[in-house]
Amino acid sequence: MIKRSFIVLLIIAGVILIAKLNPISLPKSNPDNRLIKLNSDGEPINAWAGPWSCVYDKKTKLTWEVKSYKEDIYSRECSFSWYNGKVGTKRGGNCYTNSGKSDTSDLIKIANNEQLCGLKKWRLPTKYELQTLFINNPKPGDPYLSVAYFPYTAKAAYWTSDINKKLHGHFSYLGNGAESVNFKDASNATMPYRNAAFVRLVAKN
Amino acid sequence: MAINNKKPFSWVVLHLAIIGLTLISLLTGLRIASLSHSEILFFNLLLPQGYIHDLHFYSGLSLLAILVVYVISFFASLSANNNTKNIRIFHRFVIYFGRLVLSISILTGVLIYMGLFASSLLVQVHYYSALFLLGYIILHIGAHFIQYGIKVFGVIFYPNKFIFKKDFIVLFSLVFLASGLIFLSANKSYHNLLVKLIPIETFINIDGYANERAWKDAQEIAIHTFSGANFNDGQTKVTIKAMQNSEAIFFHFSWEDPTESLQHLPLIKTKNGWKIIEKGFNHFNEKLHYEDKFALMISTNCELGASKTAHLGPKPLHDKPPNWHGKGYHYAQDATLRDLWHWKAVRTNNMKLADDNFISKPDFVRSGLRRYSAGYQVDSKDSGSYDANWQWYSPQGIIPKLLPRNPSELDIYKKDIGKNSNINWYIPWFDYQIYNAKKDNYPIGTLMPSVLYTSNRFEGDRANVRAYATWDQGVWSLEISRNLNTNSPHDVKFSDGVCIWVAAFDHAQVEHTRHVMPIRLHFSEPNND
Repeated sequence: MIKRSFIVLLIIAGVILIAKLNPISLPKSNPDNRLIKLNSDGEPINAWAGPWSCVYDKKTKLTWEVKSYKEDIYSRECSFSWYNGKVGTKRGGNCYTNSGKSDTSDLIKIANNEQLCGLKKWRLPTKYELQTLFINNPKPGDPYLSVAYFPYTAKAAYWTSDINKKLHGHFSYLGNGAESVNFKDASNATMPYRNAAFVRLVAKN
Repeated sequence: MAINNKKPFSWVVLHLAIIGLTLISLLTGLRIASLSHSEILFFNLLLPQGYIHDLHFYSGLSLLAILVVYVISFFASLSANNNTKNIRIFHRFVIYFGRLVLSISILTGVLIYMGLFASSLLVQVHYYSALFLLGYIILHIGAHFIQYGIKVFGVIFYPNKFIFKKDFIVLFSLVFLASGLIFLSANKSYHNLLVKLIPIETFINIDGYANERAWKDAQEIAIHTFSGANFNDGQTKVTIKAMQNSEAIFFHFSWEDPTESLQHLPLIKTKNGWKIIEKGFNHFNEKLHYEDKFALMISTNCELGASKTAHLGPKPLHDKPPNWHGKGYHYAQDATLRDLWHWKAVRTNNMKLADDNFISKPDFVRSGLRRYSAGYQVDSKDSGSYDANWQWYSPQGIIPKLLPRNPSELDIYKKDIGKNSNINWYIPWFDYQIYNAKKDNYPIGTLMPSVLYTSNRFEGDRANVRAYATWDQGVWSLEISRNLNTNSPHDVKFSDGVCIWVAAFDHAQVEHTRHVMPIRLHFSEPNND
């Protein structure tokens, strides 16, 4: 009977030991297949860490500007007319810089001067480059990109560097415009340079 | 030592059935209990995960059938060898003890299921009877093994006596009763609520006071909800009325809550900067510094386990991340959408809205998000929302997004912490300014709300549910309304036979009260749309 009692105690102890050795596991931060957060100095940070200013895409080797809630030129609210110093419409956006209302050249100039995320080759993305941020399965009502990496993204049109595109329909009398990409529905359209649209800058290391 | 091996066929069948059903009931029941008793998660590895409410319910129901047959056969002296006279006195007392706790467990389970009485005490008795039952099993098996050795287990599998008439009657009664109970419970397991029809001209003001004349003769039902955090012993009675006109449905809910909790994760200035006052928020299970909430789920699927959406355990989905609190996820395995309205005392009440959410199939895992919410998602919105007043969450400390334009705006919060008052613990975005370290000269101990209203209210699909609640003398009174049919792909259309479930949160993030049987809505006349 002593032997059997010992077996019973051994079984109970074994169950407790197994339970002790198998505690519940907490979620872990797994790096994204493509995207890496960069702080304002351009240093990579953990997928669950923050705040961050830029995102590096390992697949395209492009670094993207991240919009902000702050009331500066990188604000989620700031829109810009398309202008590159030669082509487009000057100062047709809704944010103010030292020289007046904003256009795309202002944002590019400021980002390069400030060396946002340690980079000084910020520019407008091509349509193809911007479309690489699309995802197929956003949450209901979310824009068509990873909002966990690109918060404060408007469900609206974003300028690309593709210009001299013929305008159609109502705006055909304006001649040419620039291509835009819309994160509301993953579409694209040609818009007059004078339109105020959002901008997400891109840079290559 | 010799063992009495003269067990009839019916005894062997009943004993094996009780072993199997008790094990299923215990394991599934302990998993359900882990929602309120986190210490049970120590044995997480041994407990089943996922949707287990059906298993718990039907195993309990079958045990009830066995109990009834046992009692009848005992008194009718039909059951051969159901006495314990030839068993040693220790085993006899252990078996008596086992029968007692099993009976208590079954009967309290029935009462909890029906939800007719104050349930907290019943839930406690049910829980502790299950623990005693576990103790009984260890004693019963252990003592027999110690006394008789491994041969004792042969007895429970091999009958050596067939008493045809008695065995047949016992087993036939058992199958008949279990089938009957399952059939009856599967078809009539609802609280019923008649939705009063009112003319379209009757104005119902969604102000938290159901004081319009139309409410007076609407049917009122009371649901005892239990096993939430806080409240009085974790329970609160929810009273419910419902009305409809040709366009919309109106609900009035009231529930007991001794405290009006509006201090939602307040921020405090410390010597090391700002910090969130929290106790559990880091694991998405805040139970102290959180607003009161109320949730209503609507579904055409009236099955147990909150329309079959409650999937328990730290990791009920093998290919998805575990949850932070070990309790489980809400999601649907079928394609039917469950609507979920989530009223929040701070974040939505001042918008006069409830957050319009839904439960569907488990979402994709999205890298970069700390919290995976499985099937629980929010409807889309065009604009407007609330936001948290921190740049990035960290339990060690945060930097606010905004500070007041005028520091004296925080004076009203100085004396409110730890008390309950009707001060609004939210701040309008445009009354504050972007955080500037140079202007952050607030003294240590300064309090600031963390809820930011970026606009007056949601706009779009997420704003379909109008709601407003008032708290007075320990009772929340909530009026809530939505169009019968919103044509949204993320809303459930109201029609006769739709089921609802209610849950109350007493300054708790996820630990809500619950009830077992759904509430089935009966419309006075069919909807036209």
